[in-house]
Amino acid sequence: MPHYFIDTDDGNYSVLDEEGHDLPDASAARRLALRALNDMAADTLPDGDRRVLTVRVREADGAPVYAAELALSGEWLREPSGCADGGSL
Amino acid sequence: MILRACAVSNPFLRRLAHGAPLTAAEKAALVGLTRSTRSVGACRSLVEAEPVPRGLVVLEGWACRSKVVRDGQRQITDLLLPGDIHLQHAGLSEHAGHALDTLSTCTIAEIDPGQLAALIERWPGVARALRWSSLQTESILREALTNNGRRSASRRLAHLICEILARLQAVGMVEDGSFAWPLTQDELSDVTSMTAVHVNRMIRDLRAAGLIVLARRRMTVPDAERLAAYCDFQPDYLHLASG
Repeated sequence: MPHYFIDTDDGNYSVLDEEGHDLPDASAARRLALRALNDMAADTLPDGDRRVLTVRVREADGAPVYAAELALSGEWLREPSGCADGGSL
Repeated sequence: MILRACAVSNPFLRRLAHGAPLTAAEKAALVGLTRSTRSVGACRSLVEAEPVPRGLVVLEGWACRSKVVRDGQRQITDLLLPGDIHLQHAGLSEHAGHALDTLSTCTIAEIDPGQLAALIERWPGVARALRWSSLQTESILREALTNNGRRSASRRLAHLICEILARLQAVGMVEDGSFAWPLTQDELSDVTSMTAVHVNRMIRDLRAAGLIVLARRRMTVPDAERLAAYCDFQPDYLHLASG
């Protein structure tokens, strides 16, 4: 099975995959990378209104073959009422 | 490999002793129950094709129960560690509905269900200890549901490590906070319901925080209290006798 490296960055913490994953093909590597974006989003998104999460798939020779980003852009539409932290987070 | 099942080293006895005080006769009866052992390589199925009532006890190594969903993703529902028992009752579950596989090389004791039933009938301590064992298994499953459903990824992983540490400690398989860790990142991802990519990130996180050391298939927890505090691990649900 071919080997793929999946690098990730959640805006605070960037990881260069050194071990990699054995996967049937590049499209399986893409799916895994996108599911990883989902995991990162579940972990980080309540924290702040601006966030860009990125993943990158590299093939066995180390060359990037696929990249994706997931961006959060949130804003208050007016001064919120009854918000304990003043709507900061 | 034949394991000489003596009262001191038999993890099944050590584990059940947390559930009920066992008399010498009861211990001897349980050792007799687990006398027939076999060695099974890693990643092998332990479920027989025909739905016969049977039981097995893990004496060495790790195994797991799991289910696979439509798109091929696997969920490991629970881990079987040394001392754990798996019972498949006739009639109640003709089809187990889940897979049972080894994760590492295991020493497995095959149990004769008829003999087990006779022991339960005859020895009240054995009956109590086995009821406790079912209670603990149920409690571990309930915690896994909560862990995978509600905890953030790094705390989820930390909680699993705390639980395994406590369970292995209960059967005397931890040395200075260090124990064998056969799980690959893919298997760990199947236990914790997250991608192997995210597992890799979270392990780095816990390592960088000095909470775990994972090297050459060996997990070391330098400060168990600190790791427990990090993920709010309260061992009560394991129902282990202290000391």
